[in-house]
Amino acid sequence: MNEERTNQERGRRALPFHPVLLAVAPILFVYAHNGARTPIDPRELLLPIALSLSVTAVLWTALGLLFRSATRAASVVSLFLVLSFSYGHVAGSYESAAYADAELLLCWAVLMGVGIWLAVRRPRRGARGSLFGFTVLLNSIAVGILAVNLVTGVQAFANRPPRTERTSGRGGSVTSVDYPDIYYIITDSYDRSDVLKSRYQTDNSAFLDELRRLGFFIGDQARSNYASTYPSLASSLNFTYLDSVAEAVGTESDNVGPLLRMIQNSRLVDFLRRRGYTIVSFASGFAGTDHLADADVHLAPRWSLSEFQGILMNTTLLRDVLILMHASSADRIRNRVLYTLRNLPNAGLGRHPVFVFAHILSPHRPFIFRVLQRPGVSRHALGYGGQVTYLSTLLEDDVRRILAQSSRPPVIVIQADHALKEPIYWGDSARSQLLERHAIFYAVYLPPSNARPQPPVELYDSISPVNTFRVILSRYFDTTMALLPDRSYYSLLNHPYHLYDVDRPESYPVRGGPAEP
Amino acid sequence: MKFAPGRPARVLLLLTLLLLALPSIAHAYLDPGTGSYVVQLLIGTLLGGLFALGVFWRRVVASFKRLFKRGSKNDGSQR
Repeated sequence: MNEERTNQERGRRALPFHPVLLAVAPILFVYAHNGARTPIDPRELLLPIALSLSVTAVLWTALGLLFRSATRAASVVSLFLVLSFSYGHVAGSYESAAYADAELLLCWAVLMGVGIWLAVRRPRRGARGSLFGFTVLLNSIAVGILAVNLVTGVQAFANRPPRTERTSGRGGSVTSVDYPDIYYIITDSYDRSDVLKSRYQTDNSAFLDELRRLGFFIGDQARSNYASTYPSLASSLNFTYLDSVAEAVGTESDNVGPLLRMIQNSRLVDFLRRRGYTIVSFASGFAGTDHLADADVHLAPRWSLSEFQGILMNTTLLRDVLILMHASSADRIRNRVLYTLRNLPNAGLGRHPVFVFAHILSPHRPFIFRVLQRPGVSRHALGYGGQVTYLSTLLEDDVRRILAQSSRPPVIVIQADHALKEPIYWGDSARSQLLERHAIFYAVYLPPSNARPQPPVELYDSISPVNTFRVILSRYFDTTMALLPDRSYYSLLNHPYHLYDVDRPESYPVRGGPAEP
Repeated sequence: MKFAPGRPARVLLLLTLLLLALPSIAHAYLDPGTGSYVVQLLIGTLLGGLFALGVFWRRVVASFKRLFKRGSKNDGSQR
């Protein structure tokens, strides 16, 4: 009897704080899980945490009034939070990103119903003591889950991207020469035309012919220097190879922070800013280029989510809610790509000289444009080929509009960061697979140069992106940059600094399993 | 081979956990970390459960003692 009374006294003091912790812990988990490897701005946590805590507060208050017990309401809210934040993890295993998962939703609804029934059923004798115990148990579990994330969370926080430090503002620089506007457009995973034909039965020659007619140079043998976006853009935006970075960071490191910093605060942007350029960037939805730290103008569609927020959203019940509202992750990528392509030609207007940077996540997977069936062509080839074809028509339209609207012909670089081929299997055909992975679309428009009297440095068929801006800067600015040998390096996504020289098969690992980039 | 009661449920649970622990295909650099999420939930629950067990240790022990006493009384009465 005494023990029961003690429990009753304790019950009054057992504050059910577990919903608050369970509203924050899953968000912190996704941040901590990724942040130690890929720098994520901690400010990106604020919106999801505020949203999650708001929903928790509203639900807790409403259920508390309904059940006339804050403790019982807390248990139901915690169950709701666990189910909501686990939903995408379970649904993701079935990889049905385009459709809501009706069976799983039903299953979750049943679990929720059982939880509510257990919470509202008539309390048995001595139930107050057991509720006290249950509250302590849930509080302990919530603290445990949060505590597990704290260590990695601190590591992620330490790896956060640095605050922008601009080298010099536009006002402090002098534009003595009429420099050309520069458009740098990255079409993620757009393969070279020969690979498109042989592997995907896709012919983009009409697009290439039109570009040539407009005065573009097409790199028929162009190869990317690296096999994935981070190293590739870090290299091209700084016109350098990454050997020294790899040496400094260590080949076993998986932290892309140094590469992200090279993209965010690049040598190219610094060079152009010192010459009075306005820097314009488009939201890409990819952490490395989503918000170019150095940009003066950042253009993004309304309600544009960062890569972190998008991934987080996909782990929750909101994933299916958004799918039902036609705002799935593929829909969001499509909207962003179309927004960029729609606004690209106007991005430079009234901002001369301007550097416009646009990283377009297409034709990279997921395939966002619907494709008509074609007999005899595999679904993958058809899907990819369809993306390439439609994207090409949009790009062609953009190029025409940019050229028509520019008072002085601009420089336009349209280039893939890497090609599509994946996975790579180490073995006899490894070299041809790696060559395919680096065979990129490459088109550059260079207007005549008035600045340099000597013969300009020319582009050439087998050029690689490390030399693109070496040619451009030498041609239009008061500098001369020697061209570097064109080399291609392959690395895995989780080991971006462990570089394999594509042209040295003897350096490849001994036969093994798939080496997906 | 004879299946003990509850074994299919255990196998199902194990398969579910295995399914969750498998990395889902991600086309991005960031990933939802489903495998780690399950592991962290388990570790957190274990830690929390152990803590709660510590809080109620005396009551748990007392409950077991009562249970065994009752059991031995019943044994005695049967004899």
